[in-house]
Amino acid sequence: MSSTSKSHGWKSLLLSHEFILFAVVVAEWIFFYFIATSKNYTGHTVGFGTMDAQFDILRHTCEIGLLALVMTPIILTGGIDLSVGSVLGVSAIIFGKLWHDEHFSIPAAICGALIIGASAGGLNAFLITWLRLPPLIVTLGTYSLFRGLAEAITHGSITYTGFPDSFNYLGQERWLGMPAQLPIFVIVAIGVWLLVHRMTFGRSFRAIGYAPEGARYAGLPVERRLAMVYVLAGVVAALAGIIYTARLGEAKADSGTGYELFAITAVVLGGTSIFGGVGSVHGTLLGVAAVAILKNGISLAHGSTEMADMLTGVLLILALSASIVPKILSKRPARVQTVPSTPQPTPTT
Amino acid sequence: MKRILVLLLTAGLVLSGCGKSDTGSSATSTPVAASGKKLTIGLLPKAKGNPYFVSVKNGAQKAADELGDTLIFDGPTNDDAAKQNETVENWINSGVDVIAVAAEDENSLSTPLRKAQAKGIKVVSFDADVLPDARTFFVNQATPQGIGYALMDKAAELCGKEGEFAIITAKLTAANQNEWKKYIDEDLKKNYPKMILVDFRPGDDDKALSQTVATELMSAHPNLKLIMAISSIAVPAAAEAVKQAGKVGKVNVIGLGLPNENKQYVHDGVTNCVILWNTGDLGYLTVQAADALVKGTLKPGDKSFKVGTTTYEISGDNILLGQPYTFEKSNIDKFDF
Amino acid sequence: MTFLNFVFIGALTGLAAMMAAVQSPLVDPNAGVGLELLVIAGVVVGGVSISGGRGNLWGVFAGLLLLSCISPALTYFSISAYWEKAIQGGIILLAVVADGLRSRKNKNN
Repeated sequence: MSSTSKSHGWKSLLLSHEFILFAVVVAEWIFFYFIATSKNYTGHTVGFGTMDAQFDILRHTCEIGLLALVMTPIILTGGIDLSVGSVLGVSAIIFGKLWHDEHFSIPAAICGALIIGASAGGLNAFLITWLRLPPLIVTLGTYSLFRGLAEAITHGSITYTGFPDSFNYLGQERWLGMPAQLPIFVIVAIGVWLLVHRMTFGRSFRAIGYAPEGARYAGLPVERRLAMVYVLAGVVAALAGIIYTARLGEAKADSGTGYELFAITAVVLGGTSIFGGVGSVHGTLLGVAAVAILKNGISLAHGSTEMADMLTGVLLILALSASIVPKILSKRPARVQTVPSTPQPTPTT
Repeated sequence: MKRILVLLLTAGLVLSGCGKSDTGSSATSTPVAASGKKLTIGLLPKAKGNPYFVSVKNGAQKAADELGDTLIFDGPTNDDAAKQNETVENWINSGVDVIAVAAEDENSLSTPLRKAQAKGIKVVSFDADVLPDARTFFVNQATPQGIGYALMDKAAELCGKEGEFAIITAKLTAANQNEWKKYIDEDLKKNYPKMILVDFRPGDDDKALSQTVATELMSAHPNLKLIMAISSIAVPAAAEAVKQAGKVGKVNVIGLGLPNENKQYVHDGVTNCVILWNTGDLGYLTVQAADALVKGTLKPGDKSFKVGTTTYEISGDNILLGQPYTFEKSNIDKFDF
Repeated sequence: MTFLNFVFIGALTGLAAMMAAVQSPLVDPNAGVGLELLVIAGVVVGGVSISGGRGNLWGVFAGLLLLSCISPALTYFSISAYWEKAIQGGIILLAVVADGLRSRKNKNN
């Protein structure tokens, strides 16, 4: 399922995981366009097919998309980061506290939040690369720790609100016709894509994912690369926290709860193997799109949340099973035409 | 690899072109008379699975059926403020006529509600209010002061006006519970100096957690006389905890709970009483108010709102359902919600 | 073998669900949300190696006990509930760091 293998012709392109996922996304889009768009009594079109709805889907998905993007290189290296949602939460709270209690300016508070994100990622990086601890457990611990810190700082009940309109603009208004947070997401998406697919860093992530010891013997600075992706995850999670706060107009301790699982779902849906070594950023983006269109489409069609959650699970299982199909197909024995010249002796048992 | 990119880009361009149908191409606007219009009402609970909100929805559905409106009941499956925002925004885009919300977080939910109002969609709140400028009316089950004082007075009565008691709430960030707690504290300080509130812990509207918290409270405070549960999920949970700890009669349980969920505990003497309001009526009134607001029969500044044969008082911008009602052994069987 | 493992886990989960359900006459559709991460944490704090091959049930029992007693302890000392997650995370990290340092020492010896 590697998308970096040279596409030998159209057939392998069409059968690639990413293309099938792309077809699924398009099919979803068309399906919801017809099911969830209608005209209200004044003749105006409402529902999925309107620009407003499409933009709002983008707005709802930006923070998760950022987390999924930065989760991709981490999973490529064979690791995982369960703490990104909690880093989002604690960065949002620090941002709110710096602005509200310490009277920092908005840009200064944003910098403070990003530094916190980097430090959180740094803690993960230190434990994973220096002490060589398993990423699953380290980030499970920091998932609780950072969320706990966010709750402790706010005593479980304080929220910060009342941000200036110029800040809320980032999460709620349109800039040049598109949601204001979209350019940030696009820049990060392009950045991560270049990092993984066009720089040598990207190739080293896959190498580390495939065989960490082999990568080490090949002279790759494994620890430095791993540290880099975890710190990057922390910074991007903090960025997502700021956008989340702008979108809600409030900084809360439970910001981003559950987002890490959504991000991992999107990454795996996109074709990245959970064991590392295989995957792509555009796959992740398609995975995010697939889940976002599904969830929001059902909501716009006045369906129920539970149905959306169930279908997301089904989609993920289908995607994982689908990646096995080509393997099974390739294992089928080739048909060989032979005409036995003399009858072979049958073994007696 | 490059081919995938090219495909994606072209597809993206084609698809974005498809989406540009903001204004209807065929303006077959046949304006229907306001009173005959079939409205779409969005009802947003704090959590879909919470039996309290399910009972509200039953009343709401009854009103919607009577009025001929379509009721959409959707929201997060457990208390989640961001999901509430997203649901509201999707409803705005799908063309609902009026939105009725119970806010998990009054500040963050006000943001998309203001947008809804700007687009001409009416907004009312029920059970848990949002900021006043984000909605036209708040359908209030009872005044927070009424609720707080009713709970505290009952607790004091059961404890003989002295002793230790504890409160289990929903999430610590829930604005309506915090509002009620404010009045409980006020009543406590003013009238019951010999009673001590030993702890105020969140049960997060989670049955298992609330039961665990109740058990822990009893172990940590052996002289505890009463547990007051101000989250409807916590009331039966606390009662079960008291029953399993074998402290029936030693530790009283009261709270804001649904009659059906607490009937057996009240009859067994575990829970003395539950104080609540008719949740079905709350839902019914909310939908009636939502419908009337769109059709113009209910306007800001009205002093009362008549539904069928009942007239509800409007205090400011709060439509009041009535007074809190105490359900106890003698009357709890008469109710089914 | 893996297949049977998962079947077994499913069966035990069903048993756990029954044990949870009999605690109270009301059934909660949101029962068990978030439990999976707590269980993994308890197992690892109890000394089971995440990469497999090492661990025993006594350790798991001890780990789960340790994590479960944070909440009652906080109630007993009347410390606010919001410290629970932070302490939980701290314990998990301490456990895994201690484990990592120990295996590093063993490797170096």
